[in-house]
Amino acid sequence: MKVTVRPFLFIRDALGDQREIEVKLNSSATISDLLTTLRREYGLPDEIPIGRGVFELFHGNEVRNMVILKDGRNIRFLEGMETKLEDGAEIALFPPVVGG
Amino acid sequence: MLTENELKRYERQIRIFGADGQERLKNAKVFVAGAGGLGSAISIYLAAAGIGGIRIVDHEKIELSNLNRQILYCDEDVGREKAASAEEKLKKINPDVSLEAISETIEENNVLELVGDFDLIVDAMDNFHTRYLLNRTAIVKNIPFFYGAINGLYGQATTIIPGKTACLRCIFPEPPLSMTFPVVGATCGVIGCIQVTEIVKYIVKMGSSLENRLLLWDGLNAKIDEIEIERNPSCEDCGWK
Repeated sequence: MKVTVRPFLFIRDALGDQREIEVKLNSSATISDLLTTLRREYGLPDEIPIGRGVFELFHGNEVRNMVILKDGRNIRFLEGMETKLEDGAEIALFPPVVGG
Repeated sequence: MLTENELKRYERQIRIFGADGQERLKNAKVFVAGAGGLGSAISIYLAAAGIGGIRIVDHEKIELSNLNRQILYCDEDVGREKAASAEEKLKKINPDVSLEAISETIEENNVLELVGDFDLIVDAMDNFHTRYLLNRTAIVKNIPFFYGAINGLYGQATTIIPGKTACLRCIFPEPPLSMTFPVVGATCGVIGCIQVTEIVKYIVKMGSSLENRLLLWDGLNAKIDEIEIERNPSCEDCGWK
């Protein structure tokens, strides 16, 4: 199956400034499998340098500062990293922004 | 009724909203949570637009390092309470507006009273703990909540209508890790102005809003994007609504 990944802000920059990435996965793939593929094959890094600081996306296999939506829903409300993907699913990845 | 002076003062925007729209702005009461970078831009434009009632809450004092972005304040204000200084400046910007600045920390035990009977809440906070409180308060009081946040050259905003749109908790179920954030002052201006535009449109009932859409501003690359978001039926904050 194919899913569409839409990265935003500096996560997009880290993935080569692509608005959408079509990722082929096996039919039983989960969000966890997708992230593994993005890290191994598409260069999604563990950390992104921002100015003079660093923004951590992963600590080991734990997602740190990245919101993951599947078809508009936060995966925390689905089955987290074990959320199953379907053909045509849209996955948005973006960093939370906190300051004011 | 608008006075002669008001008709003149708001002439350029009455061309867009009509006198009827301007009266709606005059009768509106907006609660501004925070008088920092976002709060400065937001409150200045709300006052200039003729929002009739503005209550702004912030417990901090002005520091020199605030001045690159908190455009309500100037050098001589360093050390003063933000609330008192904000009230003074905003009254000068528009003396017709009823302005109340309160030097308090927004907390669980005072948030309902602080928001009182105001028509809507605009988020100008710098932490998710208080944002969640405001989100829940907006849902309980059934009033809109205008979210905005910034980091460096990046920003986000959305408009939350209880019972209709995804709430803040639907998008961010858990608070992001807290970190000291760098800020370019103009980013506060971009996001604060988007929030005020949303508020004005909501009050005068014009256009379409950022309901169920999260706007993302990438100032580094000068790009704007949006993400469609959905309500979570089992959301602990808005699921019952």
